[in-house]
Amino acid sequence: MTKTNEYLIDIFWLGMLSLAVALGQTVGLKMSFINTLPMALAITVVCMLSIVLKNVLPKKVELPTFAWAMILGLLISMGNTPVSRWIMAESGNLQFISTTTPILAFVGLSMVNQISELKKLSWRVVLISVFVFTFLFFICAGVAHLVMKVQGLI
Amino acid sequence: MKSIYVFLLGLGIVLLSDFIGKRSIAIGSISIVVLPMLYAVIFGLMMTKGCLGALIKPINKILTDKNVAFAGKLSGYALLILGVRLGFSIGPNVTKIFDVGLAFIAQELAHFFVPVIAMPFAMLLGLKRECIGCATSISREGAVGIITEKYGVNSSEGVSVVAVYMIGTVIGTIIFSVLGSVAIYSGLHPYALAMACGVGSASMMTAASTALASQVPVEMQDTVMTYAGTSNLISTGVTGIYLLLFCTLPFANWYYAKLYPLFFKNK
Repeated sequence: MTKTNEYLIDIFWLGMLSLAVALGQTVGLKMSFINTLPMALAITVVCMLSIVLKNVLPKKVELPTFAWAMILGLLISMGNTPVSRWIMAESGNLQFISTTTPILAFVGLSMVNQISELKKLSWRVVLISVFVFTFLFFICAGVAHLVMKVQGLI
Repeated sequence: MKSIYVFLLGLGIVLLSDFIGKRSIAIGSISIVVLPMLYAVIFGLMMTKGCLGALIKPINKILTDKNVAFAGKLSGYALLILGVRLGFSIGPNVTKIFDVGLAFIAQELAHFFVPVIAMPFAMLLGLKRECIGCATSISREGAVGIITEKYGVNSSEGVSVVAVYMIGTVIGTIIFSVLGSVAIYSGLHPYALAMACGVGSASMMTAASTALASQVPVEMQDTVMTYAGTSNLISTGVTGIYLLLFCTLPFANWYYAKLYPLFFKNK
């Protein structure tokens, strides 16, 4: 398959998933479907750019495509440009929370075969995982809190 | 079965989950926020052969190994959409990041404390070299890459880092959405908690930060998402790789040698 064909497939599925986000938002938050579309389209385009960017950059740059998507989104919505003003005005039409549901739906589906493997894991590793997640969360929050407190920011 | 069916199955899950919508469950005086994405991951997992897949035959037909793998690819595309949308939230607030730059760096360095506490805990449970894999970091992609490359996929270290990775992928979202909900009762500032939401994978960050955002005043919500997203970016790109490789792992190996006689002296 050539790169162009791969990109066309990427665009197709990104578009379908943007529609899924828009539909989910319409059903869940009772927001207008039509108003979502300009933002959904803009996001699809930026996603596509991040895929191209990841492909063009040398393999040594280890950032995942997700990070590039976020960085590109960040850069074009920064400052006071016509583009950033448009994004500021439009982004309320596509709520962040609505973009989360499709990810997790497909993560769940992609994990169906691994549930049996998960059952084989030692309970000790499960316990340690939960411990690490919780500990890391609170130690990071604690350190951040302390630093901001000392600096008088909070 | 064509891959479009797995998309449609996922779409069905999305619509059902979004339709149920955000709920909060009160346990005593604590309220836990349950978001549509949490139902979505549970509904998705329920399609397995041992559960709904056994009852509804067409689901089994859709979920061929190829389509299950494709569902993973689709979640990757969906993650990009979230990434851009999150970028759009961060961009206009980017100056807020510089104001708290020092706190950001400090909390990233706190990842170093994981083995200090988690390794003795793992050894107490009887784990030996496994704890280099499972008790030194949050075991996301970067860590899996580093540890499996250094010790081998089939080594004790490699197997255990992959195990935590899998646990994180499957139940990490659930744990982090609970953490994001209840953390507000810890008395720590929401902005500090927001930074902590970014410690793991993008899904974990999303779960924790959306739960946290729905517990704070509206005017703080943008900043919460901004801090969480930025911290996730640093954790994934810098801390998760370089801190682990150059600081945490060398320390963990030294620490292991010191701890070993304390826990396994008669063996």
